[in-house]
Amino acid sequence: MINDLLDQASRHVSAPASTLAGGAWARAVRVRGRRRSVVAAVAVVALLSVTLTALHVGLPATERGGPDLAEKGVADHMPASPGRRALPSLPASGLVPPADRALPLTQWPATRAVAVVQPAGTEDGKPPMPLYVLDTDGSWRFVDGVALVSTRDNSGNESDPLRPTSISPSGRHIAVPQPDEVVIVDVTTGGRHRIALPGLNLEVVWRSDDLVLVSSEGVTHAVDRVAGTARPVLAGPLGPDLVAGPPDGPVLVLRDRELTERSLDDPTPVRRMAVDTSGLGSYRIAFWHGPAVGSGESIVRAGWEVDGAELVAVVDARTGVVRRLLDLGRGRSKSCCEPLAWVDDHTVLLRTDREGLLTWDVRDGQVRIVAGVGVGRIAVNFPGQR
Amino acid sequence: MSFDDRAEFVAFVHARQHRLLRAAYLVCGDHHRAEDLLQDALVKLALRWPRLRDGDPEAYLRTVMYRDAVSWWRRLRRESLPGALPDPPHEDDTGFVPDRLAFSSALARLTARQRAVLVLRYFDDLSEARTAEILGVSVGTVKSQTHTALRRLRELAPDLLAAIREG
Repeated sequence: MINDLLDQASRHVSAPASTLAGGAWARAVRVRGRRRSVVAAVAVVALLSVTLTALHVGLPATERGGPDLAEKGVADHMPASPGRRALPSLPASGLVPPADRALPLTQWPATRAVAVVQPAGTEDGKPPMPLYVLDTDGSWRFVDGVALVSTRDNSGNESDPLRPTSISPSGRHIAVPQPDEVVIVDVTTGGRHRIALPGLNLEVVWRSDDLVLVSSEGVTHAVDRVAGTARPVLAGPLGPDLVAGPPDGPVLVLRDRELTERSLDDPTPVRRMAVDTSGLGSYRIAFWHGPAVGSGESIVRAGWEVDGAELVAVVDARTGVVRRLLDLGRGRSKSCCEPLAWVDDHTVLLRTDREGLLTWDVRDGQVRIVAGVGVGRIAVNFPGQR
Repeated sequence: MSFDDRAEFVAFVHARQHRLLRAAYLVCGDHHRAEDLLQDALVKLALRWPRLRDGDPEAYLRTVMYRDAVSWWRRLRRESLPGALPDPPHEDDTGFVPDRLAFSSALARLTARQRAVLVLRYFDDLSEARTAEILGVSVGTVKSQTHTALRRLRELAPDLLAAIREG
């Protein structure tokens, strides 16, 4: 039986040193001491800051200046009962495509993709479900004539192919990674293009409406949608660490504790910045997951805090400083929560397992529920925000 | 963190550490890394001991250890660190065991998540729901990963076909 084999395979592992527990306790005591010192230092800084603010507050707003986001890091917590908010482009009833009332895209082209939904399929071992496109008038299309397969990485992990970053900046095109190719759909005509790209392609990031980056575990290709050509531009497995947008800015990669600027034509990073959470007290991000979505000078991405909390953080694209985070609490699954898009320059659209679609205002920290979602993958587009 | 807290913590760890170390080894395939994983998880547990000791500290310990193991393996695979590959299976005091060797080699070729699911389900003998909770995934994912992992093991170690059965 499998349990006997596992038992045999680990039987040679000898008992750990008797000091293991004592050593761990001693390290914990040291860590706690350091944290107390940090808290004390932060308290002193906060006191100074309050004093300076009190002196400063008499100035008119125009003289105070400063970026939109808070200067110092701020940690928000998911409220127990968030308020509600409507977004005009999204149906209040939720992003659930009515399969029986969706029209074929080839016969009924859309104005632009407000959202694209792919209901869950892979986990049950079935082929992926079709893509459903939400048009600006609230009607739904299904992308017909395109047989998609699941993406899979080198370890055999499979997933449905729609990505939160699949919609082009204008909302006109959808790019979907596929093994050995990328599929691009023009939602305004129903036209489909398949562009050959060797490898197990996993991620797509639009740079402009004509150029999309497609990453496999070995290389990232720049795909010219108009010419139908592709060229390798960045080596190595970048995956979702590649930041989506803004289209005209540098190529950014957010990985572990580093944010790097890259050029598409030069493999050497142009600039490296440490991801800095020092303004957020004891919060430390153990690793990132899911898409990194950029807008202007901010990047938003989900992560896992070193002590086990799920969170979403806003990183300053100019400095690597984590300006604000939303602590979603413990006990959620790792892929529970992901940023989908920037609604405007200070509001992020999130999707979470318990609440559905949410907006998070990174100026005042307000979290509000927009709508529910079904099970599956979602991409949402707000033109001009990427 | 009082002297009593420390004594309780040490007693708690002593009763479980060998089993946990074996589990960590099965997931990461590396003796040193397994010790590091366990040690790091113990430090995190010690930091929260006053709050967790009356709850379910073992669940917390397993959650931290398995999640760290999966994320460490993912990073390793991404960065392809030279010299940091898992220990190859080797002989031990009990002598050469062909079945164990074949099984260990096959196990090393699964993804970290798949190994973690198998170890939690069949080594730690936990339910699908408990496994899902610890790994932070759905029960459906645990089922599908278990199925995929066992199928892969049967492909990689066909001689052990009879032994590698679900349940």
